[in-house]
Amino acid sequence: MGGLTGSGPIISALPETDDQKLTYEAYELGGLRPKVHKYGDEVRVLEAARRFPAPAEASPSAPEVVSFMFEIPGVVPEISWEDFVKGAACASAIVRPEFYPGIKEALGKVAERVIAGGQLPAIDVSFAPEMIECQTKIFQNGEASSWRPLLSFMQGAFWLLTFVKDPKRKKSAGISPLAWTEEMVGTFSQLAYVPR
Amino acid sequence: MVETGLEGMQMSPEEWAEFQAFKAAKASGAPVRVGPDKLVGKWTDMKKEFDRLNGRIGVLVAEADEVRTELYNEFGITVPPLKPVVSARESVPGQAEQQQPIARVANATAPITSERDVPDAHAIAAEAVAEGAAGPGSTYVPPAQKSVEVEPIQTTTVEQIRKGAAVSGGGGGEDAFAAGIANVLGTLRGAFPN
Repeated sequence: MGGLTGSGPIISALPETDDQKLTYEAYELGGLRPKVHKYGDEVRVLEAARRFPAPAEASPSAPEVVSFMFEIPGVVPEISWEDFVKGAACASAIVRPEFYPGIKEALGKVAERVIAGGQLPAIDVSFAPEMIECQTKIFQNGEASSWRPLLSFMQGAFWLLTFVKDPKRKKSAGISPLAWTEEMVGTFSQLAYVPR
Repeated sequence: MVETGLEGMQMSPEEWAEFQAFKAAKASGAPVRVGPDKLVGKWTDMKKEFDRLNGRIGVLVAEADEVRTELYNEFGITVPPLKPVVSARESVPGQAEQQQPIARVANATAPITSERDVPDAHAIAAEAVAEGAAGPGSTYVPPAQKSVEVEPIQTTTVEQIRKGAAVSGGGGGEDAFAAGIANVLGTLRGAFPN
C-alpha cells in the first residue's frame, strides 16, 4: 500500500491494497472509491455538540436531518445515495442541533450534484488514515452485500466531518469528532450493516 | 403499488408516473411546476415543495409531449395534455444573485418558452391572454408591475455548486463546491424550524 495516489493538488484516491483494488473492480464499486482533497479551514463551519452519543448508538433518524432525503430517486444506484445520507445523518449527531436545517439543505446540494451526474464529493485529505482503516474494516467484514452501502455510508459520515470545526480536538468525553466518526463508521463496518 | 427501489417507499402507478415525469422534465431542463399553482424552476425549490406536500408531486412541464408518450408507453396511463405554462426568468439588474419568474399564464395554449427565450416569453404570454388563447381567467402580468408573484431564489450558492459539479474531478471544483456547502451550513442554521 503506497501513499496517496496522484501527485497533483487536485483530488486523490485512497491507497488500496491489491486485494481491495480487485474487490473494487470485481464488485463494480469503482464509483464509490473514496476521493480526498485538501480543503481550507474556511469550510469548517459546524460546531461540535458538547456531548456525543455512543458511536454504536448512532442512528440516521435521531437527528432530524434526513426525513425526505431518502425519497430522492437513486438515479445513480451505484453510489447508494441513501446510505451516503445516512452516514451524514449519523455523523450529525455530534453537531449542535441548530445546524441541522443547514445540514439538510447541504445534503440537498449534494443530491443535486449526484443527480446531475456528478460524483460523491471528495473528503478532507486529513481524514485519509481513518478512512483507510474504515475501508479495510468494510472489506474485511465478510459480507459482500454490505460493501456498497457501507462505502457510501462511510463517505457520508466523513463528508460531514469535513465541515466540522476542530475535528481532531478532543471534546468533553475525551474523544474528538474525528475519532468518534471513525469509531462509529468502524463499528457498523464490522457489523456489516448500515444503521436504520 | 410500484416498488420505487427506495427503502420502504412505494408509489401508486399515478404517483410513480408523476415522479418519472418530473425526472424527465428535470433532465430536459424545462421549468417544472410542482403542486397546485406553484411554479418553480429550481430543484431545491422543488424539494422544499415536495417536502411540504408530504411527498405528493404534481407535475406540469413545458415541452412535455415526450413525457406524455413515456407515461403511456410505460404505464398505459393517458395523461391529458399538460397545461402549457409560459415561464421565463431573467436576471434582475444589480441583483445577479437573484432570479425571478417574470411571466406566468395559466391554461395558456401559447407555445412553451424556455429560459433561453426570455424576451419572447412576455410577448407570447401577452398575446395568448389578449387573444383569449390562454383560456378563462388567465392573466398576464408585465414584469414592470410589482404584483408579479416573485419567488426569489438565492442562486449564488447554487451557481457555485453547479460550477463545482461541472468541473467535477478538479480541485477547483471541489473547493467551490465545498465553499458553497459551507455557505449553506453557515447561513442556514436555525433559519427555519425543523
